[in-house]
Amino acid sequence: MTHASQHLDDEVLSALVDEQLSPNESAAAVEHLAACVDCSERLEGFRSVAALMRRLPEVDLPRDILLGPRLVVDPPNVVRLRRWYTATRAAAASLAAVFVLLSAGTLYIDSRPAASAPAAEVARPQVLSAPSDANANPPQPAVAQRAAVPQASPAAPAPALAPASGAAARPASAPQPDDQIAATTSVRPLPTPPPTPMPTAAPVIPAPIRQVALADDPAAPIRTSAVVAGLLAVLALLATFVVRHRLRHHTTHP
Amino acid sequence: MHGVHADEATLTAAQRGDVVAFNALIEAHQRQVFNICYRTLGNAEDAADATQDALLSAFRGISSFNGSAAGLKAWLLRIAVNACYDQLRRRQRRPTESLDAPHDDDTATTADRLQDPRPSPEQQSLGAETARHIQEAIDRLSHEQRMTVVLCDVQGLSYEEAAEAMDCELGTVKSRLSRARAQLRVQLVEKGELPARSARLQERNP
Repeated sequence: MTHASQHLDDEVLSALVDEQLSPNESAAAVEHLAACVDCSERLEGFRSVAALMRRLPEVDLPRDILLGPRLVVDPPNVVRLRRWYTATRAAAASLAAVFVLLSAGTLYIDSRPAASAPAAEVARPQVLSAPSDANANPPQPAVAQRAAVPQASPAAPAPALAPASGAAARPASAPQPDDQIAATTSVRPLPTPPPTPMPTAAPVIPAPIRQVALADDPAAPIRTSAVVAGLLAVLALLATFVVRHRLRHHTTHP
Repeated sequence: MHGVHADEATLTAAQRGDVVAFNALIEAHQRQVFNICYRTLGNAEDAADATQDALLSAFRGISSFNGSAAGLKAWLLRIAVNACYDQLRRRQRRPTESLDAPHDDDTATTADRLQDPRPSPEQQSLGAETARHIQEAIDRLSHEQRMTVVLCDVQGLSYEEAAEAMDCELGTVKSRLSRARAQLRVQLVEKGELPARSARLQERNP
């Protein structure tokens, strides 16, 4: 070991401050330092920095950092998903309820005029009014009344009634329920018979029954709302499934 | 002995998803985690985010932690270090705010409340001005260097502990620390927090 030994590396000096040199390294460094002012000063520089850093105050945790159990269990994204799940589920449920109520309302309104008439009569208004109302409210009646009128396919009676309109055609059947049943049932195998009785009967419209036909219109907005509610309910249900799937994914594979 | 058994039982409970047990385990360390984050990131808001991230990922990962309760601190520190790096990277993507103006007093936001956490009473000896200068100097270091200096010098970890926390070699800690200290020294001399020449040596060599 001579005076001329190389100056010490920063790394050696820095480690010497922390006494992290091996005994040999340490001895060599100390020997060099004894003779080298430059390195001694650099060592002093490292020592003073380290000492100053050590005096940096510890800071207290801000209060909002302390983790409540809830926060730990549910990371923010899961909390958000959970909220969405609740919202979409509630939306789907309430929209479905609205749909059911409105459908029931339409059913009730539709069935009211036919309350005194035989069962087949209930079917008639739907079928007959189809041509005139088709644009205003297309799909809903099908959903609401499919159960009640399984075989009332709109296609069959429609051509026969096209010119006469629902209001004109329906009364004809009202006084003769038996004929009417025959007509509906025979529509499929034999399309020709129904047209003949209907137009002839058309002129003989009893006044009260015509009112019943007009009362079909008030049901239209309700029916439209029911359709909208039904569609929205389906959408909300789909959203619920998507959110639930993602939620499950996040909670099982964190 | 009893305490060790209790710790192991708490660890087992936490690993089964017991949140209360987990909180009990980390309670002793969360202050240190926050302080590491605070000094590395330079402001309390980011530090709070990083601490929260660290604790959350610790909770999610504790079931796969296979050490003893005694090794928990090292494991937690490593998670904290990674949370800090994540936060630093995130900040690089949306820069300006905290790096350039960490102590801008003009902005009186909710962050203001977090901006200046109170130092513990026993350590208020260091002036606020000096502490600010040191923090600014730390903020100028590279991510790895500031992490090393925070762990070793500010937190007083051994080289071994720091190496474990940063998942690197002992030699890497040594070299990072020396470079960090060299740079800090230059800056702290510039700011007048350290003398340009050691007074002791000046006496010896006029």
